[in-house]
Amino acid sequence: MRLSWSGYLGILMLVVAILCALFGSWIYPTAYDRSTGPPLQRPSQDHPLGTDDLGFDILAQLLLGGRISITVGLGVGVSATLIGSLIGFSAGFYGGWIDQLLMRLVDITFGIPQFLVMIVLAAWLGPSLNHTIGVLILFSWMMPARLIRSSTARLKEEWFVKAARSYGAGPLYVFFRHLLPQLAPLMGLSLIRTTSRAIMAEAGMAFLGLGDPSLPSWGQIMRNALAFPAIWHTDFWRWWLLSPQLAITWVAIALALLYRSIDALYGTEVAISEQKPNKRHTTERREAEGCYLQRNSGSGIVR
Amino acid sequence: MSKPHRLLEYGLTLFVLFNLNFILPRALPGDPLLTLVNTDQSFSVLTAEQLDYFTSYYGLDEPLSRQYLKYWQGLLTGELGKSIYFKEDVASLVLRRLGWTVLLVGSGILLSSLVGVILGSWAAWCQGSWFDRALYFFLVCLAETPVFLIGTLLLFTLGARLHWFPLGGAMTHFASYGSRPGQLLDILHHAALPVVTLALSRLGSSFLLSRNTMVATLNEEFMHTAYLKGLPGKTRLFKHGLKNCLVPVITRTLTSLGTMIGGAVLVENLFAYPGIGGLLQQAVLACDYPLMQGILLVTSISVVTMNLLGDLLCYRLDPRAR
Repeated sequence: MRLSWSGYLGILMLVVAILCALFGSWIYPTAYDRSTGPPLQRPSQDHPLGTDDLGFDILAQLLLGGRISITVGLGVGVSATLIGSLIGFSAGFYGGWIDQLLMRLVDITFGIPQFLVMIVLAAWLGPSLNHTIGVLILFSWMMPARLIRSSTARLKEEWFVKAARSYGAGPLYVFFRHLLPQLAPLMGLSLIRTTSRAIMAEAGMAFLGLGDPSLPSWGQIMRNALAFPAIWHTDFWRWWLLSPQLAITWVAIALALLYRSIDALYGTEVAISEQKPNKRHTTERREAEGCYLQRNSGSGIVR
Repeated sequence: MSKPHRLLEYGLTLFVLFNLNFILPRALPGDPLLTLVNTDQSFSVLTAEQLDYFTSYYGLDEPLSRQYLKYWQGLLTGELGKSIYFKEDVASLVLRRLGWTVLLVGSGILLSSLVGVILGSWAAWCQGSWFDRALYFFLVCLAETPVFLIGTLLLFTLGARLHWFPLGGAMTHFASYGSRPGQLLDILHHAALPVVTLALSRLGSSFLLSRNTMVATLNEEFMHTAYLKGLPGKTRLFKHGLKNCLVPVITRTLTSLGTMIGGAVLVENLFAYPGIGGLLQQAVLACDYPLMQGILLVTSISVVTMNLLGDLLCYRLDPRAR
């Protein structure tokens, strides 16, 4: 059981990004929120990525933007995964009308044009990082919920869970003691997925002017760059507009590589369950998941 | 899941959306009227009489139940209120702009599905070879590349540097076309870059879906039978394989419309394209709430309809899904 080379590449890229976000302002202590040089400088010794139209250093903004993106991504990812897991577990464990209700809720939330609703909601709430995070959580919990629900519903019927139940184990005990080890990879995968989606959506929303204008998140830098009238006719786009975009792409690709290699490691075609389950896919998926669980439960059954 | 069940679910989705649309502006902090009157550009002080006038003008002095009934009445008759910024009927404004977005999203989806299916089948055919692996890696990366990066690169290289394509807009302003084809050509010329951007951003997922489906199909027993019958590779791939692989591709394409529209909002802003997305951003910046609601309603109705269509097509095309 080893990660593929692309998985290690993803981890490496991710570590670089996180280190830059954490220690960037320490290594490169130029202020991001005031003018530190003449406006519209080309990249130079003092300003490796030049300055924008107000004389703000672009590299310093980029580093702080990384911190914002990773905060938003992880904040949304962790909370959405936890909330989604809780919902999915309740639906799968209790079944019946609770299951019906929660899963219809998932279907309905999946069915609406999410990005547009996010935009309108954020516009109503007003530009602020906290609002952005809240709105993103509101539309990110469905994928973990669906994943965890289907696994819980299946695991619930396993003998070891039935045995624990017959001894009087409550749902929380069953979850932490018996289900969590089996569900952990799925939760990890949903964490990666929701994090990367949140980073992308936050950038998109800031790009449309829904972010906090005083915070240089990556989307906001792009917005400022495109608002500069001569951006089309000069070279400035190369460092001003391209650098935040490349940063987002860097993080997104790192997360995707990691996601795919973990997915391949456990043999769960998680990607399939992001869409509506139809009969054929569900059976295929069950087989894939069953195969992975047998390999991991140490029962020695190898298909 | 049975067919009426699905229909009911889509109906429910729309119902929830319509209700949210009614409740949210009233439930969120802030007086809807004050936000309507005090836009960012102008802050006006109202006398008590003026306030009363506007309250009754927008029907906000009536009890909630009555407002709710009126809201549904408006929905059913296609009356979505008036845009504050554009001083125009929301319904006609949105419908006029919708055409451009449909053009972008439609051609983007078509292009990406076509190329994705071809590349996906090809990669599945020589599964495990270096070609498959390189393509897979490249397209996984492409699938994660944000639309704005693809758009920016295309815009600056093909648009600003090489001058092959216009930098924005949907038509040349103040141009007089001698003929119908000339106008069409101009529209296509303007749409080319945004369409290619959207198509590229979706190509990755389209490729992955068709490749995975094709790999699964190629391992099915009827494919072995076809091989043992001595049918040539081309027949097997296109006649037996592709037929089976197309169903999920078609349904997935229709159900991915919601995501596509999200991407279209960003692309339209980058290319200053006069579609729904551009309109939405103007509405957001001007705090034009009726317009935002209208856009949201129209797009949700179209997305839900497309999802429904995808499901129905799946039933029709693939008897196994029934």
